[in-house]
Amino acid sequence: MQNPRASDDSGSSDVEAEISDGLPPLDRSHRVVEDEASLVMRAEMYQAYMKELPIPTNRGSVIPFTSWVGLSFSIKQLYGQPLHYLTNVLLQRWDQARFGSDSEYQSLDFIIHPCKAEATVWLVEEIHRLTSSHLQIAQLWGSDPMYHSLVDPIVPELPRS
Amino acid sequence: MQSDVSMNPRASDDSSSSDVEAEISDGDGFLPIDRPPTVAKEDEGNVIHCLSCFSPFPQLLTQKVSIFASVSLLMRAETYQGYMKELPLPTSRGSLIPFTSWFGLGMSIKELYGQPLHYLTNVLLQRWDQARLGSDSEVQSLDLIIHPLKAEATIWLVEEIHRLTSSHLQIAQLWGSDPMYHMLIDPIIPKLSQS
Repeated sequence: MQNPRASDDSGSSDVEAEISDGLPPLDRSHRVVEDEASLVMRAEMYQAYMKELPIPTNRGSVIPFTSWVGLSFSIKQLYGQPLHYLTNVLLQRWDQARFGSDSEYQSLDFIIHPCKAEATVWLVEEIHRLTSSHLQIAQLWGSDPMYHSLVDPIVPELPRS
Repeated sequence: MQSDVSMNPRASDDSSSSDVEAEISDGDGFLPIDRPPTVAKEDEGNVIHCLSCFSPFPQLLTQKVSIFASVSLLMRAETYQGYMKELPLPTSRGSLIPFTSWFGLGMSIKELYGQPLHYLTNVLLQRWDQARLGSDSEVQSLDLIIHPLKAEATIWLVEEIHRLTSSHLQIAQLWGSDPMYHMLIDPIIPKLSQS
């Protein structure tokens, strides 16, 4: 199983401890915003990895959920896989889109059946893994200062058999 | 008969202000206003263009930024969402629709089933097309990467989510921050199905 752990870049005292997401560490020693080139590199590695990660086939659990982000946590834990940045963004948007709706306080899994919900997550995940461009991802990351909070560590746990 | 829509949600008449543009209405139902992306004078102070709906700032949406839409936008979004929520999803599906772009597939689907797709779905489909630009597989035909049946199933699944769970408040906010939002609103008059 591929394990792209970042090379150790602890030369500068200004470099913060990296969240080990398996990507090359951010060099913040110059205290500038991540430059475009390094973003593109990181996005390229990220997308190449996500593209090869196989969508799980052994599915069929019924996962109760009250939010899309909550569902994604359950899914990540159940299958030991990260979800794509674009999927995490989308799921957060879907939760956001509920605020103020009539059905906001209904449990989400009464409105959307858990099996449909999980199927949807994997379908969009597949689209994001197979068709996304690292250039577009780098652009999105560059315009989102908090992007790393939606990038899952790309070190999948060994599947529990 | 695809959809049993007898509902005719005409927007309430908001013509008290001379600045409110006349609703385009051809007697068949609620049509989103088809006009150039200007903001009525009375709305200018009320619309904040700090988020483009095409920008992925999900975190910004949860920050305490005051983003609000004009009252008329809220009303239209409420009517819109009220309508879309009741529109039944087609049950007889499963045609194999070849496609080379998500937006193109969306258009084929709209035509085939005679139904509009939700604004949020149209936005998503456009995002997906945008996200391909510059990818290795960009020149491959999309339906060789994602099977047409899966693709159509995905669209209907996200469409269901958008129809059933979206808040008109959020929609109004998104519209308010996207001067071109009306381009992604389908006329919400399902054609009679030719069966």
